[in-house]
Amino acid sequence: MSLASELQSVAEAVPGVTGVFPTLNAPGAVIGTAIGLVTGTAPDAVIVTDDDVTLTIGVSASAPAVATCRAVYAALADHLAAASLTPRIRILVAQVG
Amino acid sequence: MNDDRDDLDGHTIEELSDYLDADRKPYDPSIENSPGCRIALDALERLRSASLRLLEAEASEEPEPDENWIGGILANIGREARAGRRIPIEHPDPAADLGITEGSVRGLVRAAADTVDGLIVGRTALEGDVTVPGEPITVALEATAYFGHPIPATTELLREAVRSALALHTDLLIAAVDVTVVDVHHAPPRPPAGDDAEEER
Repeated sequence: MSLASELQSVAEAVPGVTGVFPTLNAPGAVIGTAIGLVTGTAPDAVIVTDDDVTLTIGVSASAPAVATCRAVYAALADHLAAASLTPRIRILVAQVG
Repeated sequence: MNDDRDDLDGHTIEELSDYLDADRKPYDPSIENSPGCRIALDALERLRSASLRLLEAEASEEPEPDENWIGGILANIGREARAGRRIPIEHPDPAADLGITEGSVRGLVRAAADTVDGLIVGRTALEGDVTVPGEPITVALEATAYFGHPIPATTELLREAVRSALALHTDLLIAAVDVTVVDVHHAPPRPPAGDDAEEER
């Protein structure tokens, strides 16, 4: 499992997260999309570069969106720290409901 | 209309309406994986329930139901579902870059408004610089009231619903929720109090 897939699973496991949307405007997203087109596979929803981890999430209407976003950050930071990685983590809540 | 297509990840509000008509089949990943489309679909589903009842009510009272009015709300739903500005979410860790889209906040404002009986919201807007944490902002709403519902009490319920939703989901500092009632329509008939009750009989 790739790091991007691992991180997607970590994010999706946080209570209140309804999904991780494909990230279109992030560093690495264009390359990922191009590879996906060539290989016929869906591009990773979580974009991982040397310096950044970028993802866009949806949050349930019943879960506080801001608190859920911070909880996703904490979960990802913990997971990355376990692998001695400390990138900048960019998370955008793009849908509530 | 090209702007509309681009801003809803290549889809128009009419296409989304058709997609709902088809019961969201066949599954379209370009719609279902788009936050903007999902926000618009949720709003469309709620609007359909209210507007169908409203159009039925008006059809019994007036020769022509006001479909332009519904069309205006549809257009606003499409515009408001766009991502818009990035609203920062503060975090003490400098490695955290967190945010929530203006479109998602407008979507939850509309969802909160749709829970209030006695009116239907046509337009929502966040006025002020939402990109600066702690900056006071105003939520501006335009609504159509249903005839027979007291407007002051109904708009107060609307303000409370919106404030409550924003307090739950955001860190925004809400200076005011301004509601402008721009029209009055006949109230839609209440849904049968109970399909369930009838089934129980």
